[in-house]
Amino acid sequence: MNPLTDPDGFFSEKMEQDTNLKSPALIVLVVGVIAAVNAYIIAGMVMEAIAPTLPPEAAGFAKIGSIFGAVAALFITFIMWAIYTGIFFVISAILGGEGDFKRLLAFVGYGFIPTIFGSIITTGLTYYGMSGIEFSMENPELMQQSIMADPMMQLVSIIGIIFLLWTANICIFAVKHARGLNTKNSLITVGIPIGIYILYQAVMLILMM
Amino acid sequence: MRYALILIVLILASFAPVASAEGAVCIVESYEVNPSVFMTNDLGTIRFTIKNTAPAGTGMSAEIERVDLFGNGIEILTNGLMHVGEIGPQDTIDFTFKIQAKRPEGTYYPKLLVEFGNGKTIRYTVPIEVENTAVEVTASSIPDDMRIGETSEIKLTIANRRANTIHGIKIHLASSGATSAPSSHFISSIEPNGVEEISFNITPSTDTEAFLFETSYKNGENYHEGDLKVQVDLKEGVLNRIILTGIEFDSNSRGHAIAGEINNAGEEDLEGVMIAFDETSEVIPVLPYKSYFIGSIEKDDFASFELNFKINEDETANATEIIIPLLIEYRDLDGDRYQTVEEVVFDLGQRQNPEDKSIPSWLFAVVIVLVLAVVGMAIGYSWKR
Repeated sequence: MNPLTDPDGFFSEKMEQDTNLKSPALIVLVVGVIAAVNAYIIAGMVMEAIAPTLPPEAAGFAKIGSIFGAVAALFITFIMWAIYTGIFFVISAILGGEGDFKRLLAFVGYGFIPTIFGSIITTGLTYYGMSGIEFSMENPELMQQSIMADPMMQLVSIIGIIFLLWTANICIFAVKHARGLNTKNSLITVGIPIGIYILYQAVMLILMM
Repeated sequence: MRYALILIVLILASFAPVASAEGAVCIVESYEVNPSVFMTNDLGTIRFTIKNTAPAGTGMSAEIERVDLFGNGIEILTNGLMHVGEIGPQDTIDFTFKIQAKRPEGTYYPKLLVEFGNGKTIRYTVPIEVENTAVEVTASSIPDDMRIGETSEIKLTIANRRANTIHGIKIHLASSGATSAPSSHFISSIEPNGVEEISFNITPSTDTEAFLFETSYKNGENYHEGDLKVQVDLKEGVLNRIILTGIEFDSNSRGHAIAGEINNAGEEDLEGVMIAFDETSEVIPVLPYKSYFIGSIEKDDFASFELNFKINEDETANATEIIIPLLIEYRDLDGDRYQTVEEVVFDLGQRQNPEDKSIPSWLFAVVIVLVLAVVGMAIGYSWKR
């Protein structure tokens, strides 16, 4: 069974097995590594751009900044895995769901598979897009606006939203089986937080257009 | 002595406003003078309210035979009334008289006379103040160094030293040979002892020794006018405090950038220096630098700036070059604000071959549709099963 095309059958089959976190953790690790590469590229480009304005003794810290960004991105991916699972666990509990947190954690981990493909695409586009953006060094807010207003970065956001929908789709079936909910309630469990996040992303995107 | 006489008149008057008519007791319940303080020759009104205080339901009506107002120095423009009619218990009736204060400053006492059918009367005296204190306009801030063709800010203070509120205050620059922004200021009202501050950005186009500001306002319904002359020492030619040097243009697929230096060639430090595009239809400012704030530039020093823009293709279809007006704003050490416009020429030939790394927008749409199709198929397939 393939979690990408038949998540219902895949998780149904997994329910008959013992909970195993190794594969989901590996998936999340791959996502985290791609996020780290992405963060390293962005931080590196920003640091390169601001390097002329920094004193020579601060140049060494610029490299450390890139590495710190990469490590932070890796850890944040694992934290997001736990947070997603925690939110789904709480909402599903309100809707009468029952089941082990560890199993839900493992199932939600499989939901990160589409993010691997999405991250690879968006990392490539980010690298291309960032290379053409002129940064404002005086004002970090202005710098963020410049990045977000760039058409390539807006494409990155849209692709990110589409792959997030795929992740949400897998998580619906993950919650359904791990928490013993019907399809409607598992749709609500996943739809509320993901829906709010996508709405926020969409509003930010429209504001920057 | 004058105040003692006023006091006596007031004491006498306080006994007057009550009259009994066939058992009914009528009083002057209230009066209203508009404006509350007159200026000489002002027109206005006094409104009296007469009330029959007899208890309701007693049927003790009072018949008013005559109502008249005697000016005692104030001109009464409304004739008295005869055979007004009856006023029932607890009823009130208003009488309004138009008056004109053709008198110098002082207090005048028009007297109301109300005669009733039974021969009883009410005599009621009202004090009318005439005060000619005008609204005072003063210049609170005048730049030391005003120059022809350069915009400077002049601040004016409008003070109401009168004892009553004035309305509809309008002030504008009346001098020819200079433009102001805004063209006029309007203030709805100023309370007694109230002060309002306004400012005009003045751009003189010819030499002059003073600017004339005209003020108009309403006291009640009467328009009054005043003016203020602000002496200035205009100097010839725009002060070359600001010089732009090292102007360079850079173009890429995302638009164009102007970079250069702002030099302070004046005789003092400048503060709050900011550069932006002045209004023009040919250029569209874009991020990250629609405007560029520099801050302070010391005397004989310079600071770099950068501005980003796109060309409005609709406006420049057949042009070979465009003139880009750059607005530079700054303050001198006295805090006076100045702005000057410097023009730079952009050769549109530079946009013909920009280093085009851009991806066409249709490709964006193709990528989105492809990704959407793959993800949509995967999601759709998962639900079919």
